[in-house]
Amino acid sequence: MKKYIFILFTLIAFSSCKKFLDIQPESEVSKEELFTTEEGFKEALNGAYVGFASTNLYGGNLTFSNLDIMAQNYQFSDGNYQRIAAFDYTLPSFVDKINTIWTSSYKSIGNVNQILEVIDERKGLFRDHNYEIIKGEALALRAYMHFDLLRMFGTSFKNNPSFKAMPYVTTVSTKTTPYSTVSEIMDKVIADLQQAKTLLKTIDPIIPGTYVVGYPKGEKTTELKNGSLFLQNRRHRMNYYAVVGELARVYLYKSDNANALSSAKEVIESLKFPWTIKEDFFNADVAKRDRIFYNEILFGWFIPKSQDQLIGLFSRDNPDYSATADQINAIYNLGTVGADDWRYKQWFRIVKSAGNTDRFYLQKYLVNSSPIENLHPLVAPALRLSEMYMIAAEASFDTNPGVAVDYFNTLRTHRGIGASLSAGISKSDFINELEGEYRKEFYGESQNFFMHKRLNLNIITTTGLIYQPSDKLFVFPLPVDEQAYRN
Amino acid sequence: MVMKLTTILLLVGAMHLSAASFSQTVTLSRRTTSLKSVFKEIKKQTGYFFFYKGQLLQGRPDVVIELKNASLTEALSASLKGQDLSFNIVNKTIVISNKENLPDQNNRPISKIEIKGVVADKSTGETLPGVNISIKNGSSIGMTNDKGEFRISVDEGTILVFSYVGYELFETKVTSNKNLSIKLASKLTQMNDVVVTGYQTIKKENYTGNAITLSGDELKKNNPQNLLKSIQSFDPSFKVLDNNLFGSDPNALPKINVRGATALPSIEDTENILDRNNLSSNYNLPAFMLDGFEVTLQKVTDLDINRIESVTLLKDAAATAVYGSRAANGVIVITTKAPIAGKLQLSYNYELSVNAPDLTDYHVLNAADKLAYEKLAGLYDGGLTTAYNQDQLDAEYFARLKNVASGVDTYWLSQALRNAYRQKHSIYVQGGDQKFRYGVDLRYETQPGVMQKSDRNRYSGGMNFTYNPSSKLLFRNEISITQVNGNNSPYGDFSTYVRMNPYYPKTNQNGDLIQEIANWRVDTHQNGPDQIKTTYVFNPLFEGSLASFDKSSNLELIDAFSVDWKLTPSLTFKSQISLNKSKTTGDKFVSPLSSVFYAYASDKLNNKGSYALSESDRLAIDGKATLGYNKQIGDQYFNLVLGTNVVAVRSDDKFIEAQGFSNDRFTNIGFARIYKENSAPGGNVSENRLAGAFFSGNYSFKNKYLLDASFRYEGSSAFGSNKRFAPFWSTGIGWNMHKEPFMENVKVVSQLRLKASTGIVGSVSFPAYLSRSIYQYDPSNWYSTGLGAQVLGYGNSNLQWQKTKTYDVGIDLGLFKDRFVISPRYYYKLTKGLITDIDLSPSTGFTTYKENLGDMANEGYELYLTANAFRNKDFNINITGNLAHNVNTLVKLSNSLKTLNDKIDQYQTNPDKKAQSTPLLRYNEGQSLSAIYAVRSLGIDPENGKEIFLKKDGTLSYVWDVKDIMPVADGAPKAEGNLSANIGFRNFMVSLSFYYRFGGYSYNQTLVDRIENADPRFNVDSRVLDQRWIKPGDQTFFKNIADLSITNVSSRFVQKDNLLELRSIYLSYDFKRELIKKIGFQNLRTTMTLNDIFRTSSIQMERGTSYPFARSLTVSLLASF
Repeated sequence: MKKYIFILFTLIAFSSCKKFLDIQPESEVSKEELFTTEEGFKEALNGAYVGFASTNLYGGNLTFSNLDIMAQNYQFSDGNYQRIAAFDYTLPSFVDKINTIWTSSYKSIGNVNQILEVIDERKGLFRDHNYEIIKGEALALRAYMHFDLLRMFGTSFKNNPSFKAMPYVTTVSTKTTPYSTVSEIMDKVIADLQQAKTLLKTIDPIIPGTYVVGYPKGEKTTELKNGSLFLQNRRHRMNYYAVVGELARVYLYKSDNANALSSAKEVIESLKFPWTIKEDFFNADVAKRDRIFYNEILFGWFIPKSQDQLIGLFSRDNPDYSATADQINAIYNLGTVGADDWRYKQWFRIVKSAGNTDRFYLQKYLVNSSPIENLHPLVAPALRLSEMYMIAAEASFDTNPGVAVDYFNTLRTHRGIGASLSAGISKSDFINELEGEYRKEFYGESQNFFMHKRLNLNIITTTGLIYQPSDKLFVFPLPVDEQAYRN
Repeated sequence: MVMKLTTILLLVGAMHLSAASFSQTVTLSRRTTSLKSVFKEIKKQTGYFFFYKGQLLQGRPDVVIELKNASLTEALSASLKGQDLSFNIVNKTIVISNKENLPDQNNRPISKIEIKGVVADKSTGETLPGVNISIKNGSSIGMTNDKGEFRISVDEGTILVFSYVGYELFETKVTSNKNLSIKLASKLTQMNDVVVTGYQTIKKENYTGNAITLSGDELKKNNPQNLLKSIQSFDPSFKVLDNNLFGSDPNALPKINVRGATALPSIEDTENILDRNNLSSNYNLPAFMLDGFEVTLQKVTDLDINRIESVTLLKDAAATAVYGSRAANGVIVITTKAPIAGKLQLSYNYELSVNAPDLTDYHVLNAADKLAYEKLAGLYDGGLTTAYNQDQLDAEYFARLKNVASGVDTYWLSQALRNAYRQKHSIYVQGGDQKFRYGVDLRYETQPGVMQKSDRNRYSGGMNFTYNPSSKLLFRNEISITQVNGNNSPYGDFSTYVRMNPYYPKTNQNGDLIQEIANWRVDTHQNGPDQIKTTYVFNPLFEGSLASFDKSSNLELIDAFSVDWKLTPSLTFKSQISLNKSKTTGDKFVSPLSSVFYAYASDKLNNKGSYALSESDRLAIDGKATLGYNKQIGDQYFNLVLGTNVVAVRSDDKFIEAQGFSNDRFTNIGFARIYKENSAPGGNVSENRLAGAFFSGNYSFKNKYLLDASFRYEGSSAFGSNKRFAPFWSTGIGWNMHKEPFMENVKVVSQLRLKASTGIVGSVSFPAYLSRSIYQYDPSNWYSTGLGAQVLGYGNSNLQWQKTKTYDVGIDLGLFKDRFVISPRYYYKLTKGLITDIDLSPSTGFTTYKENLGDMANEGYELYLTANAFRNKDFNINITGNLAHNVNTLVKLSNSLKTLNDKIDQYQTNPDKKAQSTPLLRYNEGQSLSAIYAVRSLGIDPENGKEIFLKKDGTLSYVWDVKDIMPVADGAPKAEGNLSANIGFRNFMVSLSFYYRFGGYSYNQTLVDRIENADPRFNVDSRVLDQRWIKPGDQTFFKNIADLSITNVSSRFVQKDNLLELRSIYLSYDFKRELIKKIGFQNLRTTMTLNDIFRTSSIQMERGTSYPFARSLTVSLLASF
């Protein structure tokens, strides 16, 4: 009898032991637990966006930092910044920042891959079209991030498509993914984007005419009207047009003009994104002023957490980044066509200084302090309608220069520049004009550097110094850790 | 699950209550009945079986019987009267046989004799009521009355057994002596002869494991205020690391390791790696088991030392393997006193301690010297600063000179200090009889620290009962409630006082404390308006005068219930369950008037003052069931135990911060205006579970050949789902050589035992969810389309226990009837599969993950010596000494620890981290965790006063380079230990206890921080004025006095660390019993203990930098009624 009691006791104790030791944490959620509900997938996707929009990536380093400095947009007295502007990749703080970008990018890709690894086997969990939306966005994010990494750490497609640049990571594991060549990565980027496009094509809520783009408090906009928070603010997420726009950008990088043009045209012709009107851009009431052409943004990262950093960079007394008056006057062609350029008039605060040269502080990201709020939330623009026009212009120039010049002139009209280019312009002059426009449009948005890399353009400093295009300038060094710990 | 288990444990315990209700007496009333039915009735009443040949009862006459509460023997004698039958009781069986079969008994006349006597405690002489008296191998025949007396009638030659809970059995053969005086020896006094492993109690003589057992009294004698330090005095391998930062702060927890470290700190834990103590020994803490259940270190430090019965240190695998994953750092088993039966006994203990701050290691400059030094250091040289012009500097200088001349010479060090008087009252009441015993204890203890307003006060109460319904069953329940309130001093960090200039006055002309004593302008070398910054010197005493507080309060409830069920005399089933609930709250209020807010932005003046509130709830449930077998069969002795246990611990922490207090009077958090800016409430829940089954056996043959073996299979929730269970085992062999025939002639040797053991134990001291991929919800992870969850890291589901393999050999040698006992020990511990971070290519999405990679070894020896040097009737001298040595070696390391060294190099050279002159630990294979890393130095060049460094390649240089840092010395002493002497003379007792260590090295931080790198704007060590290089040819230890560049970490400051401390002096007097009995006492003892009296060291260094050390004197009075 006694023996049996003991055996019974032992049996009970051990049969439930495995379960007893399996604790589900309370203030966190284990991966297994998270992906058992649709909500979990949504939260994981939101979490991925938070990662991409952090100050380490698009909420900082990849939007208004070194890439913008290297595009020679500012002038510094600080030695370290000068070295960055001079492409000194040995500067320790620069190396640190490059390492941070690499590490954070792959960390965010990891967050996306965690979703993609399990989403297909859990397809049954999803209501409506959430499966397509989450998977489509996740694929697009993976492609978007890899493409930007390629634009930093790879050689340009034009120069050396067979350069073994970096891994294209699609799994979650401690095993490293082998390196791919530039063209292999391009193909993978395109494949992921195409798959995302297919998934989002018919079901993305941004597509129907009932989705009206506008300022959050605008009367007509429906961007915040969806009953599900998850489906609001499509332009803060990798929506269908963002995928198409990104495809346009990628095809252009690959010199696939036909596909670049058709993608850009698809966005332009959707007429989803209205040009910003002068009244909004110039509104005397700061609470009603659009500082960033918000409605033209196809896709922008939601970055309220970067506000403090932006104040330090651009708007406090003696900000980290500022340009001289001469520099800005030159960039915006003050002497020729730029006198009425909206951007020149609205984006800069002129700070007069006795004895020294006047300086221009960037106002693009200025956030009004509460209770007077901006017309739009703080975002880091990722894809703009203007870029679509410029892609379309560049992609169609060889086949149809007249159309190309039209695209270009349309954009300039909406920036307050009356003078238009004529269709007879030479290719190199046209590219030159485009480069100028990229620089004006994407001041503080980091796209200008990539254009130089893509087209092998000289980089000319304000002091007139010319950097010949080369991989030494354009290719970021790989982090030492990446090489050291591959397995 | 836990609840299920609890129910089972309780059920199993309760199941056999019914079996226990047999009585030892017989009540029978039969007119005429058959013998058979009488036997049946007796069997029913007593549970004894009858055994006889089949035909024996046939044809026997009926019996007439009348019995009331007769003992079994009486009943049997009465029923067999005139039957020509006899009986014999063997165990629980009564054998009935024909009388003619027992001729000897038949022939001998039965001579019952009446004897009487008194039973008393051997040591105290107190009489013992309720002592059970029985015939050996037979039934109980009586008990002592309330005066301890008995009167029985038995056959001559019978062996009587006296048994009493808490005492050894006593046997005596009945002779013609009719007046017996029985002295029972309390089991207490035998304690040093047994080892309490928490699962078994094993005779020390037969044990092969390595354990040290100490009684509560011994510990209290050594240090009544600090249990842990006291343990160290008896075993130096239990190492309480010097806490140079927190000195004798009553609220600081010590760092402890046993036989070296077995775990590495985590890399994310950068602050811990790089702290000044270099090694966070929280990872290497031994497990503390209080009455069978694991408790926290905090609980042990708050324990009432009077309640401790014994403390056992289990060190090697043979002793600890049954604790499995908690055993790698040793196990400390603490048992508390159980109530003793007898008439109500009350003991009362009063202690009064005086703690006085010990400032002997501080040598600071006086006002005049300080000002002279400032001048020498160029503080008033206008050419050296842009913050002032020469006129302003002169004005500053003369203002200070005026203070000096007018006699201002404040000794800041003593300003926030006091002599602290600690008081403790504890009462223990116990009583009861054999069946039910109880004990109630109460304690009131206030322990103020030597810094003003810092204290730790403890109040506890407990109730303890044992219920013993039969000799087979024992229930025990213990409940205790402890309230501990701690206050940190609002006077701030002691180092602030050390740095204050003596020419600063404390008060203004009106006698009010000044808040801002001085300020100076500093050139920050930044551009623009931030270039010159004003730095204030605040009066730290002013802080203490405010209403600020920093307090914690802990309420803990422990209930432990156990059932012991003796299935047979040798087989015992035991089940225990305990519940430990504690709630801690922390309240920290910083007054709006505090200097922290002195220069607060003008638009935020209404946000001054802050409050931090934290709350922590912890619930631990611990249950176990064991089956013990304890039997001697011929020459073989078995002590086996089989069991299982589960532990579940859950803690729930929350905290919030608020700010904006209108004034100093309203200190409640309710008066806060807002939450702390940019902050959010915080919280964390963590849970840990453990389950295991084990076997442990101790076997001896003829008390000569010994074998110990144990095995445990255990699972923990902290480990990867693929490696959740692990086996642990140990085995030990021993040989009591002195019992061999060939040793009988060697008269000198009274004891010679050889033993050796080996085994594998583990440790689980790391965060609970390391083995999983965790998604974290941070409220700040808000995206415009909802809350985001982000993956925290790669969860390695293959993560497993780090296992420590230990080898241990030892000899116990006793000479001259054990008047001298020498016990050397040698051990080797190899910890395999250290849990460390592995670096990954960042492209995997992770930079590190946890893996079992890396080995660490600890090797060492210990020596224990006891000498009963002199002994006669009145006088005895005992001398004990011990010695320990441990070498720690990092055998194998992961890649990331190697790259961590580069990060440490960066940290070392980063001026913001202020660690340029502190030796930081690096991780290198073959090196030890106690290595001191610095650049080798050849001293100061007499030519120019510059330091000459020896580079890694052997060349000389004046330039310090972080790449030349290498291990220059080892902090581990060649040996450390204690020496103590006990002298007893009649009722007096004196003991002295010294601690020593030698052969190790230390980095003298004082020489760097307070002399060479001293900021002349603050007070400095007095050595700053001499021994510095001034002119060519000076042979000095310190560099050029005019060289204000920072001195980096160099071997110049590594000094031999030899130390001798008189840790304790104890004096006691026991009042003569005859004397005190007249005034109603049973016992009366007064004692006096002095702690940390004297210290001499080869290294002159400031100790207790944040909180000073103290010396103490404790007077106590122990009375029992």
